[in-house]
Amino acid sequence: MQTDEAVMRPSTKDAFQLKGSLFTLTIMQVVDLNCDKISIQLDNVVAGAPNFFQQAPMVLDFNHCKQPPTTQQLSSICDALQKHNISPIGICGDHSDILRQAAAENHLALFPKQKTEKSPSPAKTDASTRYKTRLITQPVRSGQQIYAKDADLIVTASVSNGAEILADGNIHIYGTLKGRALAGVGGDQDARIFCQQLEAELVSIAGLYQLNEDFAQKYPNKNMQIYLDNERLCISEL
Amino acid sequence: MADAEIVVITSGKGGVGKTTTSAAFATGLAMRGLKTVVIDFDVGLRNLDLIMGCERRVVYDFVNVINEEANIHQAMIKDKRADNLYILPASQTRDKDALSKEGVERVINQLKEEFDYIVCDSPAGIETGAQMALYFADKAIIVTNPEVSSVRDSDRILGILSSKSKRAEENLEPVKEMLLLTRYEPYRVERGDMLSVQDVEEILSIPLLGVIPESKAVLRASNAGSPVILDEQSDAGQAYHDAVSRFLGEDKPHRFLEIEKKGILQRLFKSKEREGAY
Ligand SMILES: Nc1ncnc2c1ncn2[C@@H]1O[C@H](COP(=O)(O)OP(=O)(O)OP(=O)(O)O)[C@@H](O)[C@H]1O
Ligand SMILES: [Mg+2]
Repeated sequence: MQTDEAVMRPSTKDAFQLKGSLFTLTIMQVVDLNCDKISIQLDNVVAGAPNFFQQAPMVLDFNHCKQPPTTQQLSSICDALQKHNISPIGICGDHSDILRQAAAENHLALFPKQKTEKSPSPAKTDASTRYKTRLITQPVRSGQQIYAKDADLIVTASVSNGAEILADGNIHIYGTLKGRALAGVGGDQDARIFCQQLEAELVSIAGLYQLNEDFAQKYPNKNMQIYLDNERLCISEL
Repeated sequence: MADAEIVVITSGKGGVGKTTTSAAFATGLAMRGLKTVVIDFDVGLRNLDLIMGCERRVVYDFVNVINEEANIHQAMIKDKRADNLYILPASQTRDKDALSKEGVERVINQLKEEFDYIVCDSPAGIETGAQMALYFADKAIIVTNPEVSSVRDSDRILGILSSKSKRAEENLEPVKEMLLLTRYEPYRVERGDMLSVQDVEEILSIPLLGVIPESKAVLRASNAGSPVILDEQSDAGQAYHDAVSRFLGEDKPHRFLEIEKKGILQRLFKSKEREGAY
């Protein structure tokens, strides 16, 4: 314990220490590199919410432009922003070599590619809207198996030990889950399982599963959800 | 007369007290003036007539009636103790597949016109025999012992009731399910050797019809060929009476759930009784 603290505290010799943190940033998606057009639009936007933009950090995204900005073009855009009291701090999206160079010469940081931007791929949006719903109002008993094909499954009762429920979509259980629940069995990694009490024998999303004995802890009387995050099965309270 | 109500006594697991319960329940209903027939669906074993004390009077059986080798009135045995009670025994010699759904339906339809209650004593298991016994049921009494394997099997039979009964197949109002917890021993529950009433209710989530304590009176009664409900002094007999009353809609508090506080005299008497029983 003591040694740990010693490592974490800055020693008296250091001038600073580094810490990780998360900030919410505004992204400016540029579609047209014409600096005059950008300036005029900035006039209007800032006039609409002057306080919001006071020294506001801004991240630039050029992925929607036909080509990346040159060093010169990027410099003009940064000037326009600073005139409006906005601080450009970096560039996100796909980084071509031209863009990397332009960023370096304008002292802008490079943000890694954002996951949230690529995830709503067309296939998945289709899948989530395609699901029908299958409703089960009676307890699912030991030895029973219910498969909601191309559908979400809603159970308004409990799922017993020895019972198994499967769905291509999400599974919602308004009761205790004691048996096995497998969501996204068709491979949908966005599928989730929700239940009012988790005592499952097994939970699985898109084929990634966890057995009861591998659960990190027990979850008495909690509304729970099970989902995939980066191909890792997560169990968390709602 | 109105159509009889069909009640199946079932459990999944074997040896939990279905036949004991069928005999007690049918007798209890008849004692209340309700015309009752109890059918032994346990083809090949035939236990019910032993417990009802009428094994020597069996001439024809359920399978004979289904095969039209005898009519229903030739096969039914009138109980000697209760006026309104009849027994339809199972065959001891036939195999399990002797019952056909069509045959059972024909017999049940015939009985329906004459009786108030048809009680079906199911064989153990969840296969054909048990499915036949529950297929036509309006109500199901789920006999469960307070232990994990029995509860699990009851859960399975409940699954079959809600998917493979006639009512389920024809999308009618579901079979009304009731829990009868038998061979309950409060002191073993307290020690943690047995599941409690609350545990079992929580797992099966069906209404509790009654709790029958573990009782020497049951063995005594079955040896004597007289349903335990007729032993009105016994705890099990009284518990079955309460359950029948609740089944008929009366409001009775549950008894025999707590460890009995014995006086010294009672304790002496009990230990005598225990010696006698072995
Ligand atoms: N409340 C009780 N107290 C003590 N013994 C009991 C009790 N209920 C049943 N028994 C005993 O348990 C045994 C099995 O009972 P029973 O034959 O009624 O069960 P079953 O469920 O019909 O069995 P099977 O599945 O073989 O048909 C018998 O020996 C019986 O005496
Ligand atoms: Mg039996």
